[in-house]
Amino acid sequence: MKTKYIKRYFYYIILAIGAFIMLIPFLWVFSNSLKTPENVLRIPPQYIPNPLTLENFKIVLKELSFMRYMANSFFVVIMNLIGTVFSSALIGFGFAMFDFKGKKLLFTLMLATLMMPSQVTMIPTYFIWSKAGFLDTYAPLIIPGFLGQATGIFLFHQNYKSMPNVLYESALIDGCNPLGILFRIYFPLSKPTVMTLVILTFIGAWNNTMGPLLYLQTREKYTLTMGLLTLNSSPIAGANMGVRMAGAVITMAPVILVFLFAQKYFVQGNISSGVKG
Amino acid sequence: MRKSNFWGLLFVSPFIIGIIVFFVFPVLFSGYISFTKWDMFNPPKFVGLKNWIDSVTNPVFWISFRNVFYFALIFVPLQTIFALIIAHMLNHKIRLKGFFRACYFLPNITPWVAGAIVWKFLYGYDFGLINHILRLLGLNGSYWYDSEKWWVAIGSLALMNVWKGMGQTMVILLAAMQNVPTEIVEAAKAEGAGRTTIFRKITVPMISPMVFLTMILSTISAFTAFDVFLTMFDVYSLPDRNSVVNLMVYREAFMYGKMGPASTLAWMLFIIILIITVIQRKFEKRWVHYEN
Amino acid sequence: MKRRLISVLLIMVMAMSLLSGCGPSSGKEETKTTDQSVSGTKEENKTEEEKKEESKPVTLTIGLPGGYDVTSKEIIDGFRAAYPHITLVIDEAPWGDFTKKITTQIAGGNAPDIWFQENAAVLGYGDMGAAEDLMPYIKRDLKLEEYASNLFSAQEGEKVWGVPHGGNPIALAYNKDIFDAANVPYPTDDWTYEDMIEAAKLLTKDTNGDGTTDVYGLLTAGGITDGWFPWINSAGGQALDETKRNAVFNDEKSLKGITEWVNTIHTYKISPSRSTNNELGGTAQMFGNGMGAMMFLQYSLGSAVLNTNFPDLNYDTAKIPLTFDGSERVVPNVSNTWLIFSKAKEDNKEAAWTFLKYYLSADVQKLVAESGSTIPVNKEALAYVDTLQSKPLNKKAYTEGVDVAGVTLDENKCWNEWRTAAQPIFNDIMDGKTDPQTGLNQIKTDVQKILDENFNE
Repeated sequence: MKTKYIKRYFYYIILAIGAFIMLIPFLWVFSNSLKTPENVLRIPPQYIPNPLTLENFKIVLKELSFMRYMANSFFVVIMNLIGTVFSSALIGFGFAMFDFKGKKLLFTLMLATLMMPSQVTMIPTYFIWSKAGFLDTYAPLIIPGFLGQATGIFLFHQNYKSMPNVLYESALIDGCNPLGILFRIYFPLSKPTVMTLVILTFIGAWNNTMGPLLYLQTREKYTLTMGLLTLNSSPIAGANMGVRMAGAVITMAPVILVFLFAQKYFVQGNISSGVKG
Repeated sequence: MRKSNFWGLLFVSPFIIGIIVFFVFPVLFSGYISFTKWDMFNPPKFVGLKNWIDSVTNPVFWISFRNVFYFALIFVPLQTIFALIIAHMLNHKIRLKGFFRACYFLPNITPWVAGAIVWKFLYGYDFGLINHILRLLGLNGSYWYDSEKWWVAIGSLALMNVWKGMGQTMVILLAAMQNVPTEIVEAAKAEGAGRTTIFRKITVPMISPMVFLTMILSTISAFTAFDVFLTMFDVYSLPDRNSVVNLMVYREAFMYGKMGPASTLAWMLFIIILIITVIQRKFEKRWVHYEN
Repeated sequence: MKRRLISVLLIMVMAMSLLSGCGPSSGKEETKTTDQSVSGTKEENKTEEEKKEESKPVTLTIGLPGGYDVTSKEIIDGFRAAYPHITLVIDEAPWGDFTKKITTQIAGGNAPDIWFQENAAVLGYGDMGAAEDLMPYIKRDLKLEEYASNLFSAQEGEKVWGVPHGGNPIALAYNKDIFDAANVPYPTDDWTYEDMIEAAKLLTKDTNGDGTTDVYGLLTAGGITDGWFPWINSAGGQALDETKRNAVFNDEKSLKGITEWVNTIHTYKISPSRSTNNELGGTAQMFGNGMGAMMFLQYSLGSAVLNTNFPDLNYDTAKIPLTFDGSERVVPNVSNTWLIFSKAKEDNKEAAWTFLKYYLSADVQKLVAESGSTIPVNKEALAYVDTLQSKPLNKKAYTEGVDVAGVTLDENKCWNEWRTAAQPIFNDIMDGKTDPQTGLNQIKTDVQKILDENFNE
């Protein structure tokens, strides 16, 4: 019993040290966002801002049409979530459950999509969208999500592949067709995977800078990351490190909230229902 | 595995469309460009194998590959091991679980620009935190990301990348651990198996598909890593010894406007990653455990 | 079930038509569509055609890197009011990422009609044919005596690929308080580099006596504009020769200049090392924090960094010092340059030129001057700059400096390529990792190779 306690404390200590290392940079960003310009870069560094100022946040909120960008970002992200989760589950299920012509080739291609440096596929992809007349719209940022995204497909594939075969067989006997089996049985059972993908997709879409940079032209359509880029390279505000850090904090805040919210779900259900044996 | 062309193809049909439009076409296009001289304004001019020969005979190209391999060699194992350990710890019934998980995940959402500013401070020679600690311990400070030794510079960036990417891997592995059916664990417990035994004999085999997945993904991400290099190294003053392929691609394409060499380099990187992934998949059967 | 199948098939059909629609267009055809308005939406094109029937108005797409932070809104609004028949469509992108966007747009065949970029990039566009030659327009419409010489910073032979958005030269900035405290007279326009170094020796102080320097006499920079480029010229040396096709770098005079540049750090110890400099946020930040008595200050940094973040800093400027032998002065001047896209429609080119004429007019150039971020090219506005009351007060250090001694950074079409090759070696020289002679030899070899590759085709 005693060793068990020691082990537990050991866990806490390790976790706490690790967590602190992970947090240092974030704390630094946060602290600098509250500093006056002359205190930002100083030797020795000032760890706790003194005097404390909210001026940086005010500048960010004023310079960026912040709420507008935020709303745009949310729109893009939510569309991406819907598209990516459903298409990835569908495609991942297809790969995990069925043997069909060209499967090997397709599976290899899926992996390959992750391997090509985006700098070279960027220009041909831009061709497609510009010829299709979708410049300065959100379509180039959203539609690809509906056609499956490799990491998501892969996640579902591995998940469904490791589920017991009897699940499928018994559902088939009950008269479900494969689509029904996916959405009635497999999909609800893969909640942790869904939540993982929700988080990853949220972050990916939220932090996407290249897409908005290339495809959006009017400022009213900018997403939050574009706002941050604008701020960082603005010759006036960007020269002030505190302002840039405040911009970073504002950009990060929604993602943190979503993570805290989502993680509640993706730790809950240890799957136990429906598994026989 | 059921054989069904109809259902299989139906399920993956959105993917087939996506991959043709957004992958096969762009990749073939860049393949064609790799045999041309193209300034992105005038029509591409066919130059045969020139770009490929130029790349292979350029010593910087080989240095870049050495650096990328070295980067992956440090990054992939460290990230996987750390993520596995932390996920395992967080899979216990402990307090503040949510808080810890969030902490480990936070770097993942920190914008690269902000991350780079902080790491440059941590790695700083004169006033950096790491050297400060070393000097307190009576050791000499060292140059890190700006070291003249390539393996120190690239290694520093690999560590930073572990900091940045570990949370994501940890979340994936944690989800996989949560997916391990409790019945099996309970059954093992009833038969007197200890926690360690359960972890080794049940959890690890059960989550091995996910471990494999994260290793493939992080290998690929190591070879295509870009942001960490762009933000930590100044792309306008990058010494050859610290060059990596992706930065070379970026320079050729967007700083020099030479799409031919850029496409060639990208294709070479692509081929190398493909080979490595195929090798990884060959070894997959040796240790990855699937239910079916 | 059937429904689902049908919808999936529909998507597939749509995607196939999309694919076939864009397949052939990737090749030659894009040139035909380039002149369509950038926004590319059908609606926009329609309204454009409709308007054409009425009074032949033009829709001009203008690329604004950095948006109104860089080109003030007043200027754009003023143009809209003065030329109502020209509809201005703004295509903006963050300052730092504009290059990537414009490259993609040019490749995709829908660049703006007019935009501005760093001068070297514009020379590159001129070389590949993407920039319109503005010489005929300039000859037709501008009175040359009204402009400073850098109106022609984008000239290549008989052709001019663009006109300045504004110049950004350097001057010697000094902290008056530090000079007063050390009882050293302020820099004057007669100073040579020698005088500057001697004064810096007197100004370098360890105020708290802990063995490390707290105030440096001079903050030597490592970059090109305020770092190695003025220094390589400080003893009469050169980076490239006059044709801009041959690398010089390692002659006696260049070596002397670069050696002195390194000496400020390692021998005279009047300047912080490159790493110290970086960790403390760069020369301007250190200067603002009172850690340096002098630095080469780019004009834009005065308003953007010093006046914004350090409003109480007591500083002024003098001209960049004369060379060591006192024979000449060299003032590096980086400029951003407006260019007109060569594939724009004729009407749009004319409208774009109308915008440039407006931009170069004395009144608008005064607005440029007031922004404080850049030096105008119109002489009347230049004189107006001198009267502005913002710090640094002595703006003549910039305006006269540039008019009399302004040079580009040896810019040519492959400038980005050769300076990127040279910079890391200059860094090694500055850090003392390589000695100046070996380093400069290496730079000369590397740069010459790049020049040969780009000019002998």
